[in-house]
Amino acid sequence: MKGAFLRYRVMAYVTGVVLATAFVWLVLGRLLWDYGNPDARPGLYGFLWIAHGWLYFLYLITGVDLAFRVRYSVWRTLAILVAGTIPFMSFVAEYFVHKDIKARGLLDPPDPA
Amino acid sequence: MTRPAPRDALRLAVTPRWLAAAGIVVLLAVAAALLGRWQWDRTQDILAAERAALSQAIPVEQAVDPQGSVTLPPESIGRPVLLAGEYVPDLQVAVTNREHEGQPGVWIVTGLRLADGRLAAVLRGWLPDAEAPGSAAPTGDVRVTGVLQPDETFYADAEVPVGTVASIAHDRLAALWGDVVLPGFVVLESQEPALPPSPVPVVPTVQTSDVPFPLQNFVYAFQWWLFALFGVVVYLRWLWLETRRSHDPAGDAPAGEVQASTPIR
Repeated sequence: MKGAFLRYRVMAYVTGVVLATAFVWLVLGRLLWDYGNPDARPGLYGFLWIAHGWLYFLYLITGVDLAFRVRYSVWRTLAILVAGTIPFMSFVAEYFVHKDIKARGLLDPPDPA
Repeated sequence: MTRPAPRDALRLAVTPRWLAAAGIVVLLAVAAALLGRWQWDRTQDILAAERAALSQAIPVEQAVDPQGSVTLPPESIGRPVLLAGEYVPDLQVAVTNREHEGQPGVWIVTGLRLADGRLAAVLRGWLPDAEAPGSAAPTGDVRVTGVLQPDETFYADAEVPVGTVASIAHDRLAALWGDVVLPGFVVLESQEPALPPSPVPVVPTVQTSDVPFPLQNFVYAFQWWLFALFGVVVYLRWLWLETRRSHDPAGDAPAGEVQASTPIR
């Protein structure tokens, strides 16, 4: 359980940071740097979006794995998975998942008895 | 401890809850597949639009800018261009040793004075010899549609008779004509007014259709299809794990997992 949560947590942060960076870049580009014109966009910018696509796939795998172990309902699982596509929302999802599984004692060390 | 059989999974799959889950999975998979298709179409549309834009002739001044540049911008090589101006009959050379359908002959290159005063070297076409009918350029205003070509860099030191060159290079033409010549040269495709007889138009040697590839859309298409597949795989895996759990609620799952019999909402 701890391993599954850690994997999910890492992917939530990595995916979230990449998406947030790309999103902020998108907003700035549209407002300031004429990104409506594809020629104005640097290569790294497009790479970030592509990277987010693949990272998000890993986020899906870790999220589904965790959701099944914790036995989340389908809707809750979908909410967690969709959060990876909305800027900054994967941090929020990670916060609630962390709070939830901590409250259930799933991160406590196993009972020695 | 017995392992569940596939028919146990099937029995679970036809319960209302799992039928609903299957419905959701199918909807999501179809949606993802369609979105992938959409990104695929976007990729093709962007490429087609870029190619169409590239095959649209633009004024030659636009294709060779920045002004005074001595080399042709790489993206302008093979670019269809429009020229408006007047031929200068005195500024004409014959390019030696150019055949046409197995017949020996020359290419006729004439300077065309553009509105901004610069000259463009226009390869008007092939003739059997420099004095053949059609060698004289039309006088007065002409509009030429052609293709930009890079300078021919070979035979630069060749010794040739006066009034001829061995290859076309704008800097040597500029020296010969004592005037400013645009980088590269233009292979004439059509001309208005077209005054027969005129040289036989030559096929441009260098033709490119390189356009930026919309990699992001292309990759997204495959990612969407992968997501569609992923949804189905997740459904099957969950169904199988749930089958195992309901088959053997106490023992089969690894230690540390929640053993609740109903999902937590």
